[in-house]
Amino acid sequence: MTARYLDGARLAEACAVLGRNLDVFAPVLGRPGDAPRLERLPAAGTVTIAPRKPLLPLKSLFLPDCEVILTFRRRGNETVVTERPPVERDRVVLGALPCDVAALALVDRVMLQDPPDPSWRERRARTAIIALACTGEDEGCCCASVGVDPLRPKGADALLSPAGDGWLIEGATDKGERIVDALDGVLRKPTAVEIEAARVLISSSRKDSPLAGCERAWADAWDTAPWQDLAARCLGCGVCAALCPTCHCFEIQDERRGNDGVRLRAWDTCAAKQYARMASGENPRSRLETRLRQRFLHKLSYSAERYGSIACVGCGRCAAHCPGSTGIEEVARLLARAEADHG
Amino acid sequence: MTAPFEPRILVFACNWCSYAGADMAGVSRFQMPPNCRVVRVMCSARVKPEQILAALTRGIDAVVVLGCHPGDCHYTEGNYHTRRRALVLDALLATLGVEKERFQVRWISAAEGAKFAAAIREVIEAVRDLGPNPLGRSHGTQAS
Amino acid sequence: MERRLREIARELLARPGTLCFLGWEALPNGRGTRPVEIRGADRADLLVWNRTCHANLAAYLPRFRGSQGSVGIAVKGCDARALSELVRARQIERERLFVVGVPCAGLAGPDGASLALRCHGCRYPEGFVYDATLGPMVAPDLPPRPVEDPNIDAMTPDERRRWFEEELGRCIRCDACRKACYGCFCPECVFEASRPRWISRRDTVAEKLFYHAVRAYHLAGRCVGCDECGRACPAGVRLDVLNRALARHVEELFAFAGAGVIEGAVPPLLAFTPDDPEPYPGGEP
Repeated sequence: MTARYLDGARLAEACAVLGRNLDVFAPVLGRPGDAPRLERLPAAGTVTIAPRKPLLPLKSLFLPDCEVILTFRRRGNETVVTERPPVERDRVVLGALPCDVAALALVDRVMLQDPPDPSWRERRARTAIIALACTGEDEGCCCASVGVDPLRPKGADALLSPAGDGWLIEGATDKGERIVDALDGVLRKPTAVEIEAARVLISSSRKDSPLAGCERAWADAWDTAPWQDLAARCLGCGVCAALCPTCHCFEIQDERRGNDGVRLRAWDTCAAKQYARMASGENPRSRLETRLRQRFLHKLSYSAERYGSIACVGCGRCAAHCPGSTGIEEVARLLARAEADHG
Repeated sequence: MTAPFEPRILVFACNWCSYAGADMAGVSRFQMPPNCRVVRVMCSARVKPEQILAALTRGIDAVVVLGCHPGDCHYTEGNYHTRRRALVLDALLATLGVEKERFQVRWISAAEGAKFAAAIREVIEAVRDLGPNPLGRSHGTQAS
Repeated sequence: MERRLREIARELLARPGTLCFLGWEALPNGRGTRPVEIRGADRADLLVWNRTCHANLAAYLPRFRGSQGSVGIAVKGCDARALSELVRARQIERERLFVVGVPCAGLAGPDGASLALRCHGCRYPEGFVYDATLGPMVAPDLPPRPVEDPNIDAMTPDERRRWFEEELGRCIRCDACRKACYGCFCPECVFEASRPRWISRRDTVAEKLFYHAVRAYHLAGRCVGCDECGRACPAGVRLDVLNRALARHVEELFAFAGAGVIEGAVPPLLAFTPDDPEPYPGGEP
């Protein structure tokens, strides 16, 4: 597994080579000032492999905002149901950030349980992930506090480490090594300077977040934590869930037109008022504070209880985009303080 | 060789005046072109802007709302609401760059069969000249 | 002004029957502010006022429907218009509110120094009676919007359509704009209804256009230009363009002063006259 080197100037070429046999996804920058977006190439905009979080996380390539999972058609007395294959070709993602990559493993815990979600499983199996060793984007980043190694992330098939005007590239799995081999014509041997540059990368991801050491059941948080205070500021807008790399709730909707129809799976969020509303009209979480309590206890307490670690990768998107400037780190701090006050 | 463009037009006609006017046109041998799908409503004010916007954003080539002449509404003031809404919708659609021919409100009384026929023909021709509604391109196609 | 704001809040919160005071507090990292609901007089010192107090606190008022007790609230000019319109729409009783007018000379833009785009063309309500003010509530004289701000009036219809398809196409359908908007207070929104279901979850430009067109229509005559929608949008979509354009058209069409500008004035979509102009194609009534 010797490292090879990809010149920044040859990135487009590398994408083209991979594109012959695979669908290639990479972060694309559109307007200046916008966050990059993970798009299938070719895409309008500039491919930018950089420590900048894409607006929608990597998870969105495995659980899309909305997908057709099957089509149905009525023929006389029969209904013919056709499943839609989730992917047409094998895929590769270039420049995935370590927080996003770690999040996939957290969602795997749910989606790959028996019986596994067929769409998620297929996409995971048929996608190679080339992660970028991340030096940290902004002060919101605290992946290092929750068990993510931003410079050598687990779960990637190959790793790009920035050095000079390009990246060292190393395969980490068989799948990853096959990708590196496929790129052989575009890669070269790294210089000693480049190898050293990659070796001394430093990440600014914070290690001292209140999210660190959160892995336990917050038994009394249901009663003690200031849910009312949080709800007072919260608009229930759900941006946190829309951008979260570990959120995976969905709803199923059928759309029918005459004798034809599709079944859609679309993102949903427990922050939405209608989320838990039942067909009878009964809604066990009609109040915003109960929805906030559910959301954060799920991520911090129930996940820890059930799987041994919290369902958060410290990416900081929630805090950065919340109109009320509140993120999960602050909630963790509030839980800890409430526990100390009541303990 | 592709078939020439035939616009698809959604027509809402109020039960008391314009639907009767459409009926009168039929009695007078007016052939309703296949371009139009007519939906009878009790009053033009029953037509929700959401219905009009849904039709236009999803690719219907034009929407026409027919009602009683202002002052003659069977429910006294329904068409006054329709008129206000239409003025706002006109402004909204103009802002979005949707051609004004694609949304029209016309007042047709029960006796105005000829006027109904003329209005329908006029709308079809105007929209045929415009071509298919460009907003309909992405309806039904998955983004990724 | 901050000291006076805290004094007023403290005094109000000490009175029996006061539920809370809505204002702004400093962020934990010190760089900006966020809404805060103060319940105890001892916490009034959390209140701040500066150029980063973007949040329109009127958006929090509809949730007090059905409860008891008076609510204090700090409002800038744009917020006061929203509050005035909420009172007219009977979403909150004026008597329950203690409205503190905060004379705002314009909010900070994204770089902290310049003027926020939303502040160009600032309008305060006329003749609104505040329960207290931190200074004279007069709209500041601010420069007009920069010309390069998409000049949709100068575009051809085709260019406009393309502009909106591209801009609104960047929407990720997260619903944040709707939740942040003071005017979106329906207990069940049209986009939440399932029978009939108006909107599809499909990730198409058509559905995004439908969403924003309907929302713009529902806000016609009610948008106060506070741009909370734009601030909430994680994708940076220029939602202000459509809503403000429609607000301007409605004001011109019906000689309407603007949402919440004249107390009690009914927004044009909720009224009619027998002499309204004719919609396209016009001609004989």
